Amino acid sequence: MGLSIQGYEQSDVEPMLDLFNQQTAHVRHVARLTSRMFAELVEAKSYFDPAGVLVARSGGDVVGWIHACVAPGSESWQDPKQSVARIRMLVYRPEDPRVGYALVERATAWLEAGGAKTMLAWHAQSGYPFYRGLWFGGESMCPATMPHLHMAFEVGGYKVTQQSVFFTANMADEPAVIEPEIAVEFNEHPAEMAHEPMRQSWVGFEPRVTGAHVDGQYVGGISWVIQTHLAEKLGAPCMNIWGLGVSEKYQRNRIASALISRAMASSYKMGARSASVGTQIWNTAAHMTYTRMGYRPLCIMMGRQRKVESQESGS
Amino acid sequence: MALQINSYDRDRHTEGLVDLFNQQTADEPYIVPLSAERFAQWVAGKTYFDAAGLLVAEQGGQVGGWVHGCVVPYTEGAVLSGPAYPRIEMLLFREDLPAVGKQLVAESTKWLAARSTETITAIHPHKGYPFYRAFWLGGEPQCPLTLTHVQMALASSGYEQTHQDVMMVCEMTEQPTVCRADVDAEFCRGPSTLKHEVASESWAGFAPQTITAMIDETWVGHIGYVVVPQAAERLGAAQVNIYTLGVAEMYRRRGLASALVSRVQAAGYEQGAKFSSVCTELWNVAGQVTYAKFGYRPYCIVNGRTLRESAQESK
Repeated sequence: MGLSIQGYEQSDVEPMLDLFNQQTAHVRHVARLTSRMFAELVEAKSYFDPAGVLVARSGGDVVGWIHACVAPGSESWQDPKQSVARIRMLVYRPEDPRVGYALVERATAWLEAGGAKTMLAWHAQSGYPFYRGLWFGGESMCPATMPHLHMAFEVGGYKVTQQSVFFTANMADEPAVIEPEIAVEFNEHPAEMAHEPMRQSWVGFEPRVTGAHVDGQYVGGISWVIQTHLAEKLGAPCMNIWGLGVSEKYQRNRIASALISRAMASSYKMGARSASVGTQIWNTAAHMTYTRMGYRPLCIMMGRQRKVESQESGS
Repeated sequence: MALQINSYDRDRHTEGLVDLFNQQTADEPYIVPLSAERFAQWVAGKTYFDAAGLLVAEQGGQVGGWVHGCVVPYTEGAVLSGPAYPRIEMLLFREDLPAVGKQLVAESTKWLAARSTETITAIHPHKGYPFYRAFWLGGEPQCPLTLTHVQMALASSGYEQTHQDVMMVCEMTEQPTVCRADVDAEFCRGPSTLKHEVASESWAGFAPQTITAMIDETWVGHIGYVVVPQAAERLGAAQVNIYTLGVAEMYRRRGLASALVSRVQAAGYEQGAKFSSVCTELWNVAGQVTYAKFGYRPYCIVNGRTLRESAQESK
């Protein structure tokens, strides 16, 4: 049966999401998507470009799709005016690797046609404009547990340049709050959105921050969010930590543990019964901290990058 | 509880070491469980096994982890050549003890660096497979990315990912059909020719086979495979693993690779295998498409790591 790849049309949404839900049915930290969610959480973003969503069909059926975009950084420290070419979603059946190769090739060609020299695939480097909170927490990357996706990216010239570990913890019982070794005041509030692309990246969610202060001075904070959409798969919402930092001077005072425990306790009161966090694979200090608090490594997440070779180096 | 790391002592450590192996791999059906007898026959019985390189971490009298470092020549190839290479061939520890994993890697690296100036690798295919062959994900054992905590310990100790393969698996529910090639080739089946002692010993306990394709008495292709009856303990039936496949360049695209793969499936099935597996490079389109045609599906990513030069110097 011949394979064709065409631009996305509204009528494709249902079969696209059927495939998404079928392919991620066993993946507990990916939310089941409905067409309403897709409209509100994906399409409604001002930087959504339907031309970057490409759909593979065979024998009239949707057999895969890919979402490429040129979108600004979503994090507070990133320049909202600087757009980055990236692929943020790829869905196809593992039975036919040619569908994955073809989708990545076409999406790459689309990004290159827009002038991109460097392209990211599910990378953390420039933030998370799409699928945040829906796909492995607030820092969506490509899980090693879906090898067919990595096959398609590797064949398409996207090399692994980042590896993180996705940890999860069970919160069947109310988490105990840990106290730091020095006097610290904590406060909790909605996360401040530093710029419009950051706000849009979180559309549909209510990210929060728990801050730590010593003598009125900010010394650290934890950013977290309740993922209500995961309740369908996990039985209850899941809390995800998407940022954690303590000023160097105040490290080793158990402030990080105090912040994590407060975010967990607070989210428990809001209905969450599990927690997750992504951390760099080399970050031993973070591994130790999260392990002590009951988190266990669930899977490795990878970010990939493709660079167009210059004529000089390619000759 | 104080952590102690000591070299392997058969009487003291075997039981705890084997128990940990079985517990850590319980969810991985393509890894055969160990017993003390199997460990003696498949690992410790090899002439190049050095008990000093097998380090066991104990905490409160319990084995919390172990690492197997060794300095062994290249196991593949027609002749025994090159120096003995320092490598970590196995690392297992409880996922709630990340510090144990880190310490085991540090001790093993130190032990290896004292014995060789060659680059140290970790569960890497580059210099062959002196240990754990056939019973750990088939004939080309590497580290699965699903052993997240093991990957974390290696990555955070300076071992960079330098090789990635995809393991593909297939369930054979009925007698596989043998494919004809587009050229008139003769296929001969027999025990693999293992051309030196290290190659033979690498397969201790298993009987690798080869099917060779000949045209006019000239070699035009071959496929190496091994039937692992013990895989039945977790899979419910034996598995046949393909560990090498090659076709002469001038005879490619004539159905010889397919003819060889189908013959392995049929031979394995005749010997009781209901599952088949193979590792192929993550970028290998031809391999992936060929195997997909025969019902193989991407199962997991496996990788090899190399100690970063700067990390090696600092040892």
